[in-house]
Amino acid sequence: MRSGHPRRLAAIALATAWAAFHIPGTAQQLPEVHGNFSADGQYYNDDPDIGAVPPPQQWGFNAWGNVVMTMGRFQAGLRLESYEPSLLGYPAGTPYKGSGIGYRYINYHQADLDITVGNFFEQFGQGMVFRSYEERYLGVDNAMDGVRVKYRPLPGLYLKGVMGRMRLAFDDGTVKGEGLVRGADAELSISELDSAWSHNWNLILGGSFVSKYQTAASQLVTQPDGSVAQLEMPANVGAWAGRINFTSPRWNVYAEYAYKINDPNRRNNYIYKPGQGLLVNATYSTRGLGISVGAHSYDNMLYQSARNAPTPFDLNINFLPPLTKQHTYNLPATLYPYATQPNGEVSYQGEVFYKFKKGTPLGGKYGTKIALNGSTAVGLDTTGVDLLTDSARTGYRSSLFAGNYDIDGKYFTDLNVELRKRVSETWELALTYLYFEYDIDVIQGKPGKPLVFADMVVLEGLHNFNDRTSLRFEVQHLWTKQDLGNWATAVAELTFSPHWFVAAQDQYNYETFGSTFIKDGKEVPAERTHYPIGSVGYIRGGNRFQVNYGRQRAGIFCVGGVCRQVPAANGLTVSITSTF
Amino acid sequence: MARVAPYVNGQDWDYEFFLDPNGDLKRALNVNNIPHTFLVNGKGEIVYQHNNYEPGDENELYQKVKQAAGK
Amino acid sequence: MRSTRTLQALALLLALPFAACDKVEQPYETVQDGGGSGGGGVVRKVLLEDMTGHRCNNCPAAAAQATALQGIHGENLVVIAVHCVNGFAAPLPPVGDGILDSDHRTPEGTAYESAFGITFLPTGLISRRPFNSVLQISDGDWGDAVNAIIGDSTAFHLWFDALTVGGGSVSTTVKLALLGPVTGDHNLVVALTEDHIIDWQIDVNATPPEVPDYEHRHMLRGNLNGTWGVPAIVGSAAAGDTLTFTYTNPLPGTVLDPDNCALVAYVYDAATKEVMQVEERKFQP
Repeated sequence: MRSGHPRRLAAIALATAWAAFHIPGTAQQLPEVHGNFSADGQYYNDDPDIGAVPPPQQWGFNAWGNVVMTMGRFQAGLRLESYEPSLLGYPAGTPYKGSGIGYRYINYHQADLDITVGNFFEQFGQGMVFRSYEERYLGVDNAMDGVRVKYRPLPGLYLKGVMGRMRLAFDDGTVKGEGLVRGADAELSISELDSAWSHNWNLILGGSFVSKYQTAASQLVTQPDGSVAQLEMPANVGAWAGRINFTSPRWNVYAEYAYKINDPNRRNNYIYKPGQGLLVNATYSTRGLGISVGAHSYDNMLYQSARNAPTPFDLNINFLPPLTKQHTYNLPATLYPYATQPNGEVSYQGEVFYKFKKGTPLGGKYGTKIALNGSTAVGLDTTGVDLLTDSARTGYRSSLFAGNYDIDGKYFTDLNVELRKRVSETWELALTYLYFEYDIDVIQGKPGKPLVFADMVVLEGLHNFNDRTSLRFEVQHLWTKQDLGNWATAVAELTFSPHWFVAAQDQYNYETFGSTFIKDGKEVPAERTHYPIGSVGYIRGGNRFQVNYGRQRAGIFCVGGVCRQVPAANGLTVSITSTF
Repeated sequence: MARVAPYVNGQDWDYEFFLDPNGDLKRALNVNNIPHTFLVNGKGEIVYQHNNYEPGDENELYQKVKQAAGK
Repeated sequence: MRSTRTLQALALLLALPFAACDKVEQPYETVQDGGGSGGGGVVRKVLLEDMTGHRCNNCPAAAAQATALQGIHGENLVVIAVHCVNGFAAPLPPVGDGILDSDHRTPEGTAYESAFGITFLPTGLISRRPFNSVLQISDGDWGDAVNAIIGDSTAFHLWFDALTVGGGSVSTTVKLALLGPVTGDHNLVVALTEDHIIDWQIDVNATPPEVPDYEHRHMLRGNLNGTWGVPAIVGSAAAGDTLTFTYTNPLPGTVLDPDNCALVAYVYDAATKEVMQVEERKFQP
């Protein structure tokens, strides 16, 4: 693997994608039109056993289609969206409904200058002060609507400026949030400054400044003693960040610090304390071995462009990346996933990936891969400052990385080991053990729920019958004495390359104590429930068609540390995606 | 993003990789969900694309690579 | 020598954020605003539906906001607390241990939860009209949202002509008089709420968070005339038209103390769902 200027390479790749990728046979001056399409329809059955209540329309239907036209240095794009009505539990924040244009832009691009007018997505550094992004299937989209300018005055110096309002909801068209967001970012890549650079390492320095504006207002705030005060809210709230990144063939060291001035908002109880965040990460990797360690601490870093945004998922200006591993196996990923706590957390992570070579005792005939991962997140150790007597309304005192390691401060711990090995020409196996400590109260916002201690084991196997047909199966088990008790999941996926697949999955909660549902108007305890789902899919080129039928547990669906609640559902799902 | 390099090296994969932190390339190529494979010929044209991955898909990909190289 | 275009772009880039910071100096308190309109004449009253749940730890703060706003606007602001959303309002298992076992939800509340896209609490509907283009309004914005509507002139004069309570049932006569011409279908809903209910509530500001003797205000117990009410105006109505509605219903089985109950009548536009006028009548003034 070549050493990194990873982000520069991505930028070059993107530039060439625009200029160079086109359908064979067409000349570059003619306009090119490409796009994609995605439609998900879900038909809901009533299922009192799991608490699934269909909406009045009985159907949920999400669809969107992007069309992009490129001609020379210009590009224009459009996305039409339709939610008639949206799927249950979608999106993560304020509801979407109706049909209309959700995204549109015009872009001009030349070698050193790039201007976009309309909607755009952008990120500064790791996103601690600014990240406008989308996760369509999660229902997170805080697209900016305004202007973005990217300028590269010298090779190695990259400047960006953004201005606009963010997307909040969708009602026959995008609904924008109240606040105005402006930001600028500068990044200096030392190795690119000098065309005669011959070292194999690079140093990248970056700095960003972001500010949001919302009309200054008098905010009615309830005090702890029940009295009500009217507080003066700042109209402009700024945040800045500085970052440094050292890369070499084997090392990558990254650090970013962010600071936000007084930002009283609904989620931090209108305190005037500034916010801070510090993120550090170091990785060492060489052929067959990768090691990563990281730590971060956030304090009062929720930064939304409206101080009274309807939900914590709306109008987020920044993005605080989690350090925890994103699991793909059903039980750890859907039962107990972690989401970053922006108002205060301290987190540490360590990870080792190693491949035992072929021929060595542990490597065997084909090699063995092992991955060890550990991460933990705790709350900040805070000392409350009486809101009634403190004229500065600081709310609490804390310092970065001073965590609360008591039982009430624990948010999440994840220790896991994965062993993956090809045992024969036709068989590959993977065995994983996970240990979780998970605070449902804080992470899922369900007060009254306990700290869960869980052990999990997953066995995954892949068997190739022949060149085209394979069977992949998973057997997973979770042990816990809290929450819903023990779970077992089995998954089997039969694939007929290159077009077909058939899959079946069953999640079984066989020791239940705790959850109750409404059945015939009364609260009844949950029975030992099966959650079976069957799927069939067909893929051809960039098109995919899939049908699922079965029962879906009420749970969480997460991508990249952002999660949304998914209500229990029973029924048929049809999905179509296409890229053209 | 920095955790990609240790993962790739730990798997002992022997090809170049690039990072697309904010999904800009994914959007430019109109990808819906990953994995999504594009085969690009010497002239920079997309000659084949395939969504999803199943064991055995590499055979079809290999045929397409041979086709593209043979041109 | 740089081209004008790149110079302009550079200027645009650098000018963008530098408006940018307001560090607010102490003191942060502003002068209390008296608010409230003068007496006389029929004005538009506002219905605040406080979507809440006994397991919602941020909801007591929202309920306090509603109470504070009532202190400012008096009887021009009518509050109904609607307990909804399974995760926040369902009894907390194990059911039977005496903690958070009550179920304050109603079929009407669940229907409103679904119809108005309520997924996150606390949130509120202010006369079911969007504020800053969004229907579900954070309690921090309730003050501004109410101010935008309250005291406006209105064509709807709504009042309770008679109210009798006794023997486990309530009888009432509601009258709607039009002060100006009105077009479009409008429905009338008569809801029953109960105040001063002492029961469990989780409160993030309390230690411990489970509060056994929290006072729940204006809790929706049910509607006298259906979840979505009955048609009041069909097509159009002229100034001077008066409509009369009479109801005799048994009190909902969940009512604990009839003396704490009140009837809330509201007229809403059947197409936009916006509440045009609301009136409240307590059983015991």
